[in-house]
Amino acid sequence: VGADVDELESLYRDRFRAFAALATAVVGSTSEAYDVVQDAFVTAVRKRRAYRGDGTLEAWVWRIVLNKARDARRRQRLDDLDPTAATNGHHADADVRLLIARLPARQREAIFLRYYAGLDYAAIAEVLGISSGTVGATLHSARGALREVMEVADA
Amino acid sequence: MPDRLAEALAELAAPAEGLQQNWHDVARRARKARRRTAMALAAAGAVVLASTALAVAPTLLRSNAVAFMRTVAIEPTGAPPAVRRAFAAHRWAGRPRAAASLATTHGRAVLWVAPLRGRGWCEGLQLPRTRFTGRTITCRWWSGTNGPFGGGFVGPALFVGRAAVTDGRELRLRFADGSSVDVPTNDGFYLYRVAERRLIKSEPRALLLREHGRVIGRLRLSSLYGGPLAAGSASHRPGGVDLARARAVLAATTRAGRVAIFSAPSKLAPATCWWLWIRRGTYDSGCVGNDRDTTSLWRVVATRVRVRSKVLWLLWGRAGSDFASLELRYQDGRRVPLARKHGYFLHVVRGPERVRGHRPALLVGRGANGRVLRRQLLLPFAWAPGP
Repeated sequence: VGADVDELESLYRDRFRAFAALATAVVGSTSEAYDVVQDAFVTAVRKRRAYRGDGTLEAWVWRIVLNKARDARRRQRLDDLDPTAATNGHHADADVRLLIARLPARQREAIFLRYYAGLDYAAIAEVLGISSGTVGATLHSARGALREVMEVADA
Repeated sequence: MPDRLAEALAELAAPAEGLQQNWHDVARRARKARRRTAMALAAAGAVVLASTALAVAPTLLRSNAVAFMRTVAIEPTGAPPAVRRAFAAHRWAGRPRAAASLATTHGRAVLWVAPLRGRGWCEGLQLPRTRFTGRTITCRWWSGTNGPFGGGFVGPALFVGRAAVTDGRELRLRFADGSSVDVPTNDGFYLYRVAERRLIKSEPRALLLREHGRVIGRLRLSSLYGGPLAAGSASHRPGGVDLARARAVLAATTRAGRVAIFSAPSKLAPATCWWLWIRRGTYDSGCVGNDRDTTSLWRVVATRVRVRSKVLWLLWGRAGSDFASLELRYQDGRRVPLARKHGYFLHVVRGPERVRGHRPALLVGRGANGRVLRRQLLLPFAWAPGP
């Protein structure tokens, strides 16, 4: 058991944009997101023998990318956080991104994986280490929270 | 509202455009990492020691604030049964207390809070006409590394959360024009909506925690509309439209070329489609069922878009026939009626209207009896950078 470097390279080339999208959404800047993805794959390459094959390789790498992004975000000082830095000029999304940035971590990550990375419930469950049902409930809660705040903000 | 959220989530654009993959960089970093392993281990030890020392110092310095954020001093108050049940069902939460409330068009919104075993707090925002359940409640375990601001949503107009507002401290919201307002708190909790008259003048930029007039904590809010302009990438007109019956409903000449709203019936469904045309491309489009075409339809788009190095400020959209009039209100108090044709409107914001203090800031739609049916802030204009 263990991953092959070629497999990792292939995964990197196929899914780089999705990994980068998730990292950007979590850390809030594209430049840092690039480092997150690169470092995540460095880790994946160096620890490829630790991949036990009890899930898909892609989910294993997603977990590494997500953890790297979490670490990067944790390193940022709270008062330097820029919840809308990832708007990239798509201003229509800015309000929603801002609200997402304020969700509890689990809900925020589920939203990122679903809407930024385009993963299905099963894949999200594998990445976050929870059941598909919990993924559904988490996304439901997140959408509910966003909807509530949008309603009050508009009231 | 659900539609708006669903659309917003579905349309979230991948924000990583511009990043290029580079596998050679990964390989290079991996080699470098291997070479540095021994050194990194030693350095990691040093870093752990240093970071531990650094982490301890501010924690000790902020111990009062940490203690403050770990407790809830508000006495338990009466709460509606649903709120009581929701908090009671939570494993760690104490009894709920009303920390703050806010008047909305449908009733009062109330921020309920409860202590979390002396290690933080739980909060839940009760909204009118919305069920309060266990999922409404969020709990936060607090540590010294969390800083002075905690939780809640922060938006352009709505601020919900908690700050370490201990004795001698105050919470203020600062705007881009340098002005600031006091944010009322109760045991550090706040539920604050910025007044519309302030929003149309300037953009909130930071929550400031001040102690005896000195800023000791800052939660920066990046500018929502001050960054790069909307991409303005061309899209496609809706599929299935009857092009033979397409017509330019409204048009204007701009420095970037002709801007027009085209409309045509759909061949696929009883619907009317439209698309915004700028110079040689479609920039936005949509369709609406004919049965929804008359009443309460309200689509307002305010955007700044770059077309061939020219920056256009465009306000366009559509209002149903129950809107008897549309009025554009400016930052300087001017009010100008906005003309419509077949429900569509198109306004190009030009030179003098782009000067700060004189920009369009609000669109108001009224019914036949003069009653205001809808209001839409035009924040992309009001908060745009520039003179």
